[in-house]
Amino acid sequence: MTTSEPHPTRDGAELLAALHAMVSADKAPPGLKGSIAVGVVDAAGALYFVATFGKAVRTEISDTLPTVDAALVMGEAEANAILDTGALPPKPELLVKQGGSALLAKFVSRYLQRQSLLDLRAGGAKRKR
Amino acid sequence: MKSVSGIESKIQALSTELQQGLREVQDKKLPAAKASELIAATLSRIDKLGKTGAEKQGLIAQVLATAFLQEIVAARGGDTKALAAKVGDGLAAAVLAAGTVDGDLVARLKAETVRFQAHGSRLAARRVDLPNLLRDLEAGATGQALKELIRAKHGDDAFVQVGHTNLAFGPRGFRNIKTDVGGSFPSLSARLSLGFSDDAIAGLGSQFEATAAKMAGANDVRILYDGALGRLWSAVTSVVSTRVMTEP
Repeated sequence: MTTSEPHPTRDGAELLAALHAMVSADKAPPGLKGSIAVGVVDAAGALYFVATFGKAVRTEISDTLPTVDAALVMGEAEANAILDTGALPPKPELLVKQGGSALLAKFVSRYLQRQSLLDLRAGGAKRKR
Repeated sequence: MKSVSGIESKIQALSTELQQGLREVQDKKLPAAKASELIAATLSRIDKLGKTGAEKQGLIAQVLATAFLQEIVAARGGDTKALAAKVGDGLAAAVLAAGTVDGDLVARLKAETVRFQAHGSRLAARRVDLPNLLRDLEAGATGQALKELIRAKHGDDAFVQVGHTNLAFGPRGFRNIKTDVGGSFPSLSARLSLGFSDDAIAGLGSQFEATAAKMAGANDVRILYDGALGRLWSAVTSVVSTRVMTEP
């Protein structure tokens, strides 16, 4: 399989699509309550990954920002940097939030970072072989 | 009754099959004509896994989302968990570093969009054609106005998928392509009409929609909003499109 070709369309919506797929695939109870949005703004406008957590989880990608408990919005460069490197660019151009940081942090911890720690351990073990 | 784990396992397998098959088409290891067959066959098999329309649509959305995630991962190396780790680390840092907006966030973001456009980025250049016209028209546009606009620009034989709307125009005339599967990717124009099940199923982005259009008999598939769909969808585009407009 060839994987060395450059990615032809690299705008930040991929981050949102990845979030959507990751959260949708997790069938366990969310363990948090509230609604969040993660948005990416580029020259064409904004797109948002929106998730509502309660007994069940509802997710969607929307081009309008609904009323949510917490929103985190960034530019395309920031979104791509996160997807590619797991870090922000040195000088983020657009990075704003509104609402509860605690809920956003819970979301990240619940759906992404817990996997991250496990994976880092597994990845470390593989590399040592 | 199918067990949840059994269905999950099948979803995973179908997603992998779809993603790898389309990747092979893109890498020219499989003939281009295989892409349409592959998509149709995969979607047909998913269709059989569900009982109700909603269940089927949910399964299709899940397979497509999984396939898309696999493609994002494949384009970067590593695996899904490693990608989740990167995204988690990055978002955690972003939550800490983000400045708080107290006022109208939507207004602020509109201003940011204008600023990005003013920078004249490559993406802006790619997207100033019909989608922007349509945004301008959005408030007062009727289906007829859009139809006339599209027909004037692209002729009767073109399939045109219109930005973030459900609207499409093709050999069968102007259509409202539904159905949005479970809220999955509506803003990526994820509508695909293949004519089975409840007359419409969701796809994943304009290229999939273009595939459907081609399968439905469109001679000239033009993609006016290319979205962020990456290598996989570009592979589909290259298969189905006789002409792909990514620039005005």
